[in-house]
Amino acid sequence: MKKLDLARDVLDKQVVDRDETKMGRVDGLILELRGDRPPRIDAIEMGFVVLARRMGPRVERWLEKLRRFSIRKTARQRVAWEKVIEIKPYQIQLDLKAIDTPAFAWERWLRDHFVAKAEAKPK
Amino acid sequence: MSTPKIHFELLLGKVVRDPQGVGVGRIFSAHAEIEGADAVVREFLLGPGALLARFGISFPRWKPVRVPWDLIDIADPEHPRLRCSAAELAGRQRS
Repeated sequence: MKKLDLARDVLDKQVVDRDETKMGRVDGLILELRGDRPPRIDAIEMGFVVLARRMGPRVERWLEKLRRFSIRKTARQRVAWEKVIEIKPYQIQLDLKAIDTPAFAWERWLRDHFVAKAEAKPK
Repeated sequence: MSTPKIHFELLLGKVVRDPQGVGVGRIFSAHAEIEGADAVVREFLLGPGALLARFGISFPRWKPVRVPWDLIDIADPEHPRLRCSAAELAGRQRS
């Protein structure tokens, strides 16, 4: 039975999708408290607002307000633990495609507003 | 009925106190076991030994204080509470 040290092996680890494309880091872990049974990891969270929470609730609120001016409309991305395929010493692999998630909001915006237009221009 | 959920990263660095208010150490990590598709938390690691263990350093005199999941109340991540006395926990560590 594989054992995990949550702070060393999961938190702050690089997250990649099924094609090993980088999509952020584990900024938070959600634990589900089940009363008479041991807690379980419910989900991992990614996002700069999640990271800000560790510095304090005021920093989290301030960055949440700033995020409204950002391209990325999702402050925090939550991925269910069931999506974790593999945990390696240097990365955690998820069963999804990064391009379809909020993690790639900037990339999609650049693709739609710059790359697509540049490719459409007649040469 | 949804079960309560907490953020594990908010637990890190918080002092765990017993019902009498005696501090037993700060939470620096937790150990979980993979059971199928689930990762189940089995124990929490407290104290300087736990912090060193995060960096792969171990000293015989500074071992982490291991608190089983059923002996700690983490419903309030800002104030985690031991369900037994500090003396009882120390007795368990020795045995």
